[in-house]
Amino acid sequence: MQRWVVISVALVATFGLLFVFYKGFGTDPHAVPVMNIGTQAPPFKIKRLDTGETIDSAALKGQPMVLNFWATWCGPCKGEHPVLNWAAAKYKGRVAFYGIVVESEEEATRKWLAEHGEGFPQLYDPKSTIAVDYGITGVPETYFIDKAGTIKSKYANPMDPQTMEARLAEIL
Amino acid sequence: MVLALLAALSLAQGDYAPGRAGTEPLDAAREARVQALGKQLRCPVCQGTSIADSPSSIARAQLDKVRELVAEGKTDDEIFAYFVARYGDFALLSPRKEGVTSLLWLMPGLMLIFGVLIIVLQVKKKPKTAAPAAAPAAAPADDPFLEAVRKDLKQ
Amino acid sequence: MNATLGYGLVLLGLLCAAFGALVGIFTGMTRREGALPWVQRAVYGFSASMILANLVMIGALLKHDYSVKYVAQVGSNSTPTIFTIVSLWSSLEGSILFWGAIMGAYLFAFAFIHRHEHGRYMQLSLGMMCAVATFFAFLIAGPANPWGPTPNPIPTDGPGPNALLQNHVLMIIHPPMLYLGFVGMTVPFGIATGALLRGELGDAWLVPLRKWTLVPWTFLSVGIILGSWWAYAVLGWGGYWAWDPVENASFMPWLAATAFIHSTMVLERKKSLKLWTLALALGAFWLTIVGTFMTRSGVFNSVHSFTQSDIGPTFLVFIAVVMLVSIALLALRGPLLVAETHMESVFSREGSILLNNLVFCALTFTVFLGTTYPLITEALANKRISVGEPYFNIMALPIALLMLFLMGVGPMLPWGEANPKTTLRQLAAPAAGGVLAVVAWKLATLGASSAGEYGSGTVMAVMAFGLAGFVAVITTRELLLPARALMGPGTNFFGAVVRSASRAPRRFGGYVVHMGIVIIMVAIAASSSFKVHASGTLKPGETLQVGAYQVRFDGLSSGTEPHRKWTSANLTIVHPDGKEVAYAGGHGPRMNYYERQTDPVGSPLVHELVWRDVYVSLLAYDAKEGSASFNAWVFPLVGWIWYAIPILVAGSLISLWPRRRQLLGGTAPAPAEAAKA
Repeated sequence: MQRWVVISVALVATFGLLFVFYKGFGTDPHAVPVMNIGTQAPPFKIKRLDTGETIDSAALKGQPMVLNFWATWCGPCKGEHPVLNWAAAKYKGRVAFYGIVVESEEEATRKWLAEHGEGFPQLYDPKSTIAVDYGITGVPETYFIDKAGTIKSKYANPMDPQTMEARLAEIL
Repeated sequence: MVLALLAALSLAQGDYAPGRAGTEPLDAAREARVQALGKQLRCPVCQGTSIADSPSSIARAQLDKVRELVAEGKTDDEIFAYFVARYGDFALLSPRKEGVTSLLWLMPGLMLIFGVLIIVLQVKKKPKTAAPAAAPAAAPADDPFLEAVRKDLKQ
Repeated sequence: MNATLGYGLVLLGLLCAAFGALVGIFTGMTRREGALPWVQRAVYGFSASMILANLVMIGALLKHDYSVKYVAQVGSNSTPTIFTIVSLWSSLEGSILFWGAIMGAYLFAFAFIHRHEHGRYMQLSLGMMCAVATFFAFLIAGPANPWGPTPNPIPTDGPGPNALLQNHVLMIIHPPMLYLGFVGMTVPFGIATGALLRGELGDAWLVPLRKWTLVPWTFLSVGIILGSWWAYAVLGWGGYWAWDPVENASFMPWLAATAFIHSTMVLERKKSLKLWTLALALGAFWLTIVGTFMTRSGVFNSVHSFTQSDIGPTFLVFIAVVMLVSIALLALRGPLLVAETHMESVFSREGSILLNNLVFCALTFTVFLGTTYPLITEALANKRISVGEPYFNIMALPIALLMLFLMGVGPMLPWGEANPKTTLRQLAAPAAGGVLAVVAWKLATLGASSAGEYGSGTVMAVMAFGLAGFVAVITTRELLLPARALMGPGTNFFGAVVRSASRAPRRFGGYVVHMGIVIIMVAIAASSSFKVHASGTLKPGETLQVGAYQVRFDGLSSGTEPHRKWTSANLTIVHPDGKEVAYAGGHGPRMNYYERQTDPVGSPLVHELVWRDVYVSLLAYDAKEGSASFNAWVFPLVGWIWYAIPILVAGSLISLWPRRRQLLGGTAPAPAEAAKA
């Protein structure tokens, strides 16, 4: 009697464990959850790289916004930059595009932009404070914020035109 | 030497993430708190390690944030809440003692208690006979410990 | 060419293993002992083909034969030769292939050493080992095949092995040690399942079972400690153990095997706990498989985990089979193994060993629970959580103290039932030793703590010191008393110690290992709780004070090696007595830049002293201003964790030494003999 209790407990534990392991296959254990979708976008006040003026996010309310976090040493950032330049030109006046440079030297950033084009204003985040406020987990990452200042979505891969159009449709 | 330095410079500005210094440490007491809090928070890129231990740049930025929040006089709970709001419970290396994770804290203790119970139930006293009494009586003058060792050696 | 040959050898190995498994288990069950030579031949065939397949792979790596998929994946023309060989196990497929070679070596050793043994004990054991070998050979031949062709065009150079693995020589010996530990658990698994299938567990089963567990246990111990040493010397975050799934994966089988080694004593002496002891042997093996799954399936979130791969599902099936077979065997055959005695009191040697088993199992369970809990919440509650260092430290510390306590009390208790009065009397000296240890520590650090030379420490750490003193006294007494008993006129003390050790090598070796563990526990307690930390940004010529030491920054230097570039800080460590030790030109803490890696890999400076390490890692530097920022620590006693390795190995070797009764037979009647009479 007692023996069968032990055996059935062992069997239940076995199948439970196998189920848990099996469920693990579908998921990426390295993915970090994104928690701030639907919340108010954190405010920022930082320097614009080309003009040197300070950009205050409070003044930008009322217009949808795309925030792109990137760095000079990041390969995929180079790849996605043309997409952002293109989108910034296409939606000029309707959506505000800002790039936020993190973990990069100011000088290197200027050189990088000269090489790859500066289709939209770039903001310089020397201590990555804004990046942490937004909860980034790496570069590149792009946030889509609606007119009310709510984060609608985040795309943590190199941007492509289709995704850009689809995500922009959500905030327009 | 100068050449070598130049090489390093070009590297740092080229394809590599520049290593950057964090913000200046606070006074000893508050800095200790920053480090202790950093130990409890998980670095999102390097995964396994805490932001206090990780050499990666995002971890350094997060530790700077902890320092900033500590300097603002925020409580530990408020600082944890700041990170949970961004990265979820994933950010906490030491899970909360509530809800689904309370079992994680309770089960090892329960297992120990349960195990002790089982071991105690295994004990079956032998009926008292003359046999066990004989052994200790054998060499009362001798060191009983030495006796035990000898018995061990014999077997 | 290489690929065809290698793959052919793997297939041959698979064939031999499958044949050995079928014949071994079938003839074992039907008790046809005449088939043993065939099983042995199958084992030899498997071993030879696996080892040869590995040699072919090493040859392909050395010749940079990029037509072999695995070589194209980890090879590189610029990698130094030694790391080219090491890259055999630097990536998933190669590590499984290497696993096969070790499996071959173990099976060969077991079959050869016991070649004259009766088929009754060998056929089923070898058959079960071959069954495990079949799985691994299948893995190499199918899901983790390293021999596949490289897609055209065949490259002329490769990316080279993982940068972290190229960073330190410890990476050359640490993984093989761990693999030797992991794979070796197959042998006790084979013996234990063989015994269960036969439904018997006499000494003829038990002695090889114990010895063949001790062998992988020793490798596992060494592998774990070397791994922590590597993490300490390479990763630069100032720690040696982070409770990462990969570390837990190696720690859990070690815990289970340790519990097993202790419970065999009860089994031999009291002829009880038979089923439990076998369950531990099966559990230790199962944990090695689960551990491998943890690091190689891509399901667990681990720093060191190999890239996501297809072998996960295959492994999961194997885990399921091992679990179900184990449960079935224990359930169906267990009732045949009847306990011949009962425990009379918890206050006895067997009681303490049972408690030891419980504590080890509790720690194994805790580590397992913590490691898998994120998966559990994700699967059942769709919630992503982390379980990290703080959790494991909180849970493991009290359990470790309990272990230390039992390690002291256990050896003092007699079999059967302890007499409370004598036990208390015997406790006096060890207890004094414990108090003395705490006092000694207080004296040694008197005033130093307030001066910032050491951290302030925790109650737990002080308790650990006290318990360590307590255990040290008991263990020393256990080690030396038998010698005193053996000392006759004309024998010196040293000779008596050697004689007592050779008379009861297992007992002696066991206590030597205990001594090693005490040293490790003290080192862990001291280094984790009395460390001093400082960090800061320095300009050349400036110093950073850490504990009683000063770290002076003398500027930056850079250099190029074939496979990497580096920038290093030139540092001088200034001792409290004014002595200066300079580390320049790449010997200081540095950042290594590997091709095809965006993030630099840092490596710290470890200024090793006997009683403490000064440890400095380079966090960042500004080449323009010439400034650099550092993290610096002083870790008291930390080196003793790895200095204890030889003690552990020596203890295990003494334990494994065959007993030589006949040699002692001729000597004069020993006092122990007389005492018994």
